[in-house]
Amino acid sequence: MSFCELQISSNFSFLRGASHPEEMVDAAADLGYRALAITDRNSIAGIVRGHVAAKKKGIRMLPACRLDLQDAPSLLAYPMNKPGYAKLCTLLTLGNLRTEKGSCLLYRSDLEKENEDIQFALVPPRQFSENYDFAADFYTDASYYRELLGNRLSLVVACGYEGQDAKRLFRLQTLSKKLDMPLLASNDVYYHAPDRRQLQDVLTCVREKTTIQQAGYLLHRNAERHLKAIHEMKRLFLHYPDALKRSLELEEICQFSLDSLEYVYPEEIKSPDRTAQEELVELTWKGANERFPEGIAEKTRLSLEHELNFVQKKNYASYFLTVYDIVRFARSQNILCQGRGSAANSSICYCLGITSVNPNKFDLLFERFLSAARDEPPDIDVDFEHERREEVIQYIYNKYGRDRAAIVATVTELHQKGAIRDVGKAMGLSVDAINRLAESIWHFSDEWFEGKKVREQGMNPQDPHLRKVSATVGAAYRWLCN
Amino acid sequence: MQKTFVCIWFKYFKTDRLLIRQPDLKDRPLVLIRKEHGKMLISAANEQVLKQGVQHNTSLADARAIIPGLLSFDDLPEKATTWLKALAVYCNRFCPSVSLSGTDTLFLDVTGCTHLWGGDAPYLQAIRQCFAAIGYQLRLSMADTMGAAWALTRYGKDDLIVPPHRQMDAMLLLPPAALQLEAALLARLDKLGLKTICQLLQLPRSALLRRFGQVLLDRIDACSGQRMESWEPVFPPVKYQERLASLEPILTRTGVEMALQNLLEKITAQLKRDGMGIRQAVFTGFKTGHEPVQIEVGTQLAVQDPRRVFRLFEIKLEALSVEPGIDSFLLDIPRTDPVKEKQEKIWQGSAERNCEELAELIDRISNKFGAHRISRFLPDEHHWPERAYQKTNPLFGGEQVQWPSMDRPVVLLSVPEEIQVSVPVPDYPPLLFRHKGQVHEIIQADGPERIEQEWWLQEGLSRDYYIVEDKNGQRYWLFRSGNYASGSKPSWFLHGYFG
Repeated sequence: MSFCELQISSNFSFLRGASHPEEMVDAAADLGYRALAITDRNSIAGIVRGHVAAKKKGIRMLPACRLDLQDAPSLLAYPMNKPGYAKLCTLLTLGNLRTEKGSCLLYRSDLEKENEDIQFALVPPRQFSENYDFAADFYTDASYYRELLGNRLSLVVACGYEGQDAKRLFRLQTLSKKLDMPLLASNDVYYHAPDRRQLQDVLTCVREKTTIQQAGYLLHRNAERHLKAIHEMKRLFLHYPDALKRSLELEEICQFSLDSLEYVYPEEIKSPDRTAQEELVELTWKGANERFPEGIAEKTRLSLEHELNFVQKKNYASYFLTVYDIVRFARSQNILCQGRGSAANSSICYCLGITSVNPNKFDLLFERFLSAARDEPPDIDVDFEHERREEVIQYIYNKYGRDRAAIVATVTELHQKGAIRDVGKAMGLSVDAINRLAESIWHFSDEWFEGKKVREQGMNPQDPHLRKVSATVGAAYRWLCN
Repeated sequence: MQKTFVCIWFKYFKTDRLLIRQPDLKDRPLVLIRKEHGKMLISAANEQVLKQGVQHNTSLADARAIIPGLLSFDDLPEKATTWLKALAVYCNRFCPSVSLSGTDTLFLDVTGCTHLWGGDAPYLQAIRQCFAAIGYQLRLSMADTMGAAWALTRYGKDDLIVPPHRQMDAMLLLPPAALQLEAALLARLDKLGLKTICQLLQLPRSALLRRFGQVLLDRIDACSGQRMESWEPVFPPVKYQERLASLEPILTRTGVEMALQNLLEKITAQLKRDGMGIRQAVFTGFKTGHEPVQIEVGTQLAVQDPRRVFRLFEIKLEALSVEPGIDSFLLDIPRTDPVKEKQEKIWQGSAERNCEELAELIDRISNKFGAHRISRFLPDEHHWPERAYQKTNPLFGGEQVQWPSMDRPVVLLSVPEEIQVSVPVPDYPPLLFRHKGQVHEIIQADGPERIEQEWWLQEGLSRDYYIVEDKNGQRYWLFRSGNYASGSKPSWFLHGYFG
């Protein structure tokens, strides 16, 4: 045990990485790694899936990210603790808000503001001049980073079998000594296993909007950028044992884990002398008296007490107040609204006016809404009159601020036909051929891969290029739908 | 403009051609046959056969009954046009523009040509002699229109030269078939007792039109010259072409050189006027009774200087056989390019000028040793070394692509040569290698650079390349095909040399 991989681009580096975080974690665990870090480009979208998978496998996954700056070389960022993670997220949010969806613009001035509690690793450029040296800019930038980040900066070195590995290593070691900046060994991983190279090449073509025949040097010359066995990494970095050791040091320094994160509910407006829970209790009983003017039934009172206790234990009061406030606003504006789903099982919601069915009357069970056994945060669905929904949204934006409220649950998915089109295009098929291929499927079935459907479209499934296309499409499709 | 045409009818074209190739069949009755509905029909016959009354389209069995020793060969109708075209090329010595008609007739547009041979009669004589020397029998006639010339070769007196504007007079006594009419129409004319063209012409045009249709009138007009017939030359007209006929056959190299210089000067003067220069030049010498001889040169840049083109020809003149004497020369310039007049710099030689000198050098080398000997290589975006370059035109072509900054040898062997190595596993450079029986001890090495197959083009083993230096300071590009990890024993190859 003398190495862990801290530079991995998963498929959350869009159209770059060719393996899922789960696949990376599984492969790392199988190779005996005790930890790994997924460093997607300006994104931490992949770390949750990686984290879950890593927990299952009993290894550590460091939440991390690769920061691609507009005016400086890229850095790998590893938060050391919770404030560091907060700073990293601040940086990414800043970059995302600057530009359209899907990209992220960051500058060195941003980094100057937010860099504490984060360990960094400098990624050297791929270009190597004819004199086997990096461009002068890189050295200037390295000194700048060293000054800015102090001893929280390492220098990434990789052995990619690119012919100049020894020379690169030598140059980087010289630089590392000069600036007193430790080397960090990595294999610059893009896929968990070498057989993903074809998929990675196709993704490159899709990303660069070219065909496999014309991609040329955009493609990588070999399939070495996969997770390698520890003994193999030891052999590759035989002369640089400190670079391997540095990966473990970093892993120890960065003890931050996603497990330490929990949701912080917004503090709601309430009477100044009460806590959120007291406010909720007050409002609930007030609501109960209004709902049952002829007196609260014993059964109802018991369930209300039970629910309030549970909410207190879990500290969910603020959340109920938030929903209550939104519903109250809607009612005051005469916007139709209606709580629905599992929240109807809650007497509190009934009393607060969020739902309009008395759960006790129908013997509905609170545990279907919230339960200690499931340990999930509450989820109250409220439908608003869709023509006036915008008013509610604007109210929320005004109340919490645009930077704290977001519309969620819009996910872009690549569908079968889209996948087949992209891959077909990358493989250089004509538009006509792509259309016919795409038409030939309703579903990727084994029948399709066997070529029966393809033959129906007047194409020869034995054609080696088409076979390659369908195999690649299959791989890409299975991968996308995973 | 007043035109003059010569019609050449190769009366026994196919059988003559056969006899030229198999002279021992001479004076034997022979026919060419084709299959139709399972029957063997005669499609061509020589004079001996036709004299005995055997017609075309007779079945072979019937003909055999009439002529016992009849020899038969398969006809190749699809080849006829190709063969006729070859004869048209041959005729190019007499005039620049030749056209095919049917499968056995040539038309020559001889307007303004005959005086070079000393008049119409010697001209026709020259043509007849030329083809007789090869072995073709032919009928010739000369007239103002193609239609009249055709008619007279078939139905008129041989070697007839019709004086200008007199073609209809010459045709008066010919049968209507001489007008190249359809069989059905001919049959009707025959039934009505119209046996000569003279009889037809005596009828009023309106009556002819009413009874026989526009076609008949059109044919009459084509023969008389009232109506132009379309002309499809075998060779597209070459804009820059010069010819030179010699008084007597040239047998010496000096004579040929003089002719060539003369032609080059005439043609470059013409080109200069148009602001054009030579990119390709073809020099042809015609001999009596022999295949023409030809040499060709090409240039990288458009050239106007006749001496430069001559120098290129000079290299090849050796190959031009003059025996038994060349009697006329032709210089064609099939490819030209505009020449930009350049203003020369006063103070220093410009880059353009260097380019011109380089072009001249390339011209001389490629005309001497063959154009394929000089290539320019441009990068092609592939990682696989065999596909990483492309050949282009020595001077132009290809975008200005930068070679990628990768360590690649100066000389890349087109086929890697297998070597034996002594090497530590799994992927370290070799300690020594043996190539063609010689052992090279390796002092320094760099690598590996691993290059995988381009999977969309080809499948197979990956390669690990190493740059190694032996004791003599020579550097080599070696690779291992496959790797030791897979269990098999990989082979090693030498793929290139560094400078």
